[in-house]
Amino acid sequence: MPFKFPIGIYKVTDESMMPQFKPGGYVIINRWFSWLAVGDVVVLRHPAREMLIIKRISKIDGNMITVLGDSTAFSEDSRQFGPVDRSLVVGKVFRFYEPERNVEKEEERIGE
Amino acid sequence: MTMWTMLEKLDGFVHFGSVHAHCDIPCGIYDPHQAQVAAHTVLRMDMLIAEIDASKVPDAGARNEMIRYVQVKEHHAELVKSEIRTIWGDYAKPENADAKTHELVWSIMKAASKAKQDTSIDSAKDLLAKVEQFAEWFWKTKKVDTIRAKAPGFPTDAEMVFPKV
Repeated sequence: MPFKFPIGIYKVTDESMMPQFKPGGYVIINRWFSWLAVGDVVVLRHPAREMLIIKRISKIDGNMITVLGDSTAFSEDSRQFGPVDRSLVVGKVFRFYEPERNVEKEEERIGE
Repeated sequence: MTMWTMLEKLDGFVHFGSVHAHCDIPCGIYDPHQAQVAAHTVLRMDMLIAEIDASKVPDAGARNEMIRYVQVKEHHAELVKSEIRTIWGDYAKPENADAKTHELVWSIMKAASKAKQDTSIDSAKDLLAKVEQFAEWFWKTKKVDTIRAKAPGFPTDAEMVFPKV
C-alpha cells in the first residue's frame, strides 16, 4: 500500500455544504482515520467522475455509505449516485477555515 | 495573519486540490427561463440607458447610474451565454438538435456579444428573439407546447416563451 500523508488540505469550491462549509474555505482532513460514523464530513472520490467531493455521511451499511450534501438543493450525492463503497473515502474532515472574503459572490453584487 | 489567509497564500504556491459537490452531472434539470430573464434584463438596461438625459452625463450621479446599467447589462449578456451554453453543451444531442439548433446557439453567442458592445435597444431585442427561439426548440424536444406572452410585470413590454404545463 502506498504511503499516505496523514493530513490533507483542500479548498471547497461550491455550495453543497453550505452553510457550514462556505466556498473559498479550506478543509483539513485526516487520511489515517480508523472509523467512520454517521454525521462525519468526509472528502471522497466521486464514484463516476475524476473529482473529489465533500459530503456528510447519513447512513452506514457494512462497507457501503450513503452521503448527502448539507445544502441538498445544490448537491449531487447519494440521492443521484446511490450508496458508495467506503474505500472511496479519502479522509475525514476535522477542521475548516472559513473564507474571510466572499470571493465567489463578489461579481454577483453588481446588480444590487 | 489568520490561518485562512495563510492557507490562501500557500495555495497560490502549492495549489491544494479542490473538493466539489455541484457539477455538470448532468442532473437533467434544464430550463431556458433564466436565459430569457437575462435577455430581458439586457433589454431593460438599454431602455434605461436611453432614458438618461445626455446633458446630465457630466454629473456624477448620472455617470454612476450609467455605469451601473452597463455593468448589469454586461453581466446579464454573459449570463445568457452561460445558460445557453450549458443547455446546448449538456442537454443537446444528435437526437434532439440539428444544424439549425447549432446555428441558433452560435447566433445567440454573437448577439449577446453585440448586446455587450453597444447600447442599442434593437441589439437587445434581437438577442431576446433568438433566446425565445431557443426556448421553443428546448420545449419542443421535451414534447411540451409553448405559448408566447408578455412577460408578466416586466417593464420591457416584450414577450417570453412559457411552457404549457
